[in-house]
Amino acid sequence: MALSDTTSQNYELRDPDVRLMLQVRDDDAAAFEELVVRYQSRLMTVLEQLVHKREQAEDLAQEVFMRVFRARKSYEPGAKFSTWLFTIANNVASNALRSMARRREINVAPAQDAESQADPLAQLALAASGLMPTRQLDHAERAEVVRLAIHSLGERQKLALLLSKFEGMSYAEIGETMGLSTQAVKSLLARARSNLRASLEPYMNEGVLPGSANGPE
Amino acid sequence: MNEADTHNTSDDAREELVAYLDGELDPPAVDLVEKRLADDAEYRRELRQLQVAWDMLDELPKPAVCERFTQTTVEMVALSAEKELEEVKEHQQRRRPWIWALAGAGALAIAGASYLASSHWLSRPNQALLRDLPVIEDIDLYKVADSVEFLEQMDRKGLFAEKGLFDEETGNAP
Repeated sequence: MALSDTTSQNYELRDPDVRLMLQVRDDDAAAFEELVVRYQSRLMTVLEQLVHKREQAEDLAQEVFMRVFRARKSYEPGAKFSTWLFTIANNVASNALRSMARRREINVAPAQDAESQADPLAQLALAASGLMPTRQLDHAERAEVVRLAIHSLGERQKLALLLSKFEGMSYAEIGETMGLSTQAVKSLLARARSNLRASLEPYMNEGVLPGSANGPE
Repeated sequence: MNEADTHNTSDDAREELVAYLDGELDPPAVDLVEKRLADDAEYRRELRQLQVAWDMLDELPKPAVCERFTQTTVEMVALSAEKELEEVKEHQQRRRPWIWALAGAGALAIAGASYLASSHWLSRPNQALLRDLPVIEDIDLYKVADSVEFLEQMDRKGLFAEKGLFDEETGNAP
């Protein structure tokens, strides 16, 4: 066995989801269903931001759960369950994104006019400030601004940011999930947050966001 | 993508600032960041903006998973498990004749090896007797001879031609 017994036992004691997965390893269908219920929204939160399409994110989430099930017999608790699950999700999403990129290369997109090629974030800012310069963006628009800001990040920056924000993973856990050193994660997240801040800065600085208690001085 | 180069903070300092916000710094590094925050207004401004941008991520809608997601996922897995089971059964059935053939061949090999070994080791005394039989038959004659050289001389003169006591090519006794 590659993992020490002590490591496995520690994770088994500390992480209830590891215990559920061990039951899945013993072919407990109810335990598997419980894991699906616990993690489907969390997976979807990350996958939807990675691939930008809800239907595809659902397909990928199901693929992740399928891989979890297929890997059950060789499962050994060497990390928190969520770290293991998101490592699989990272692989599945990376494969899907590569596949999508190949398809984009093949299906040459029709020419777009200059306006539609412009940065969608800038367009949204222009629309918001130009049409109603003093109004506050409503929730849906704020969500769209944030979604576009995340969309503008590179894939790795995006995943690291999402795992940090929505999964509360430590740098070490993100590193384990993405196959990076802790120092590399530190640099990656610094760049991700800096880029995110730069994308959102126009909205923050112009004070167009509602509930600006958190906003700039 | 607009990289945040308009800010004066160096990459290293920004890494420390983000790690500080994420609670990933050790106490001495925390002290250094807090000291700089106390002294540097630009650093404080960057900290606030990073935090605001971070908080804005909460604006993302929580994905509403399709009601049937759990059910369809479990059904997919159940189908996969059935298929897996069938494949295992098929594999075992395909392997069964081979297993019997291999087991039979193994048993035959072991039996053959056992026979050869036992026949070799158990018959050693008989083999020695057989080899020495010509000598035993004429033991009374050999007793009167004083030496092996004398017997060799007799053999060269053809006295033992019929018996073939000494091999003509090697000179060895049979």
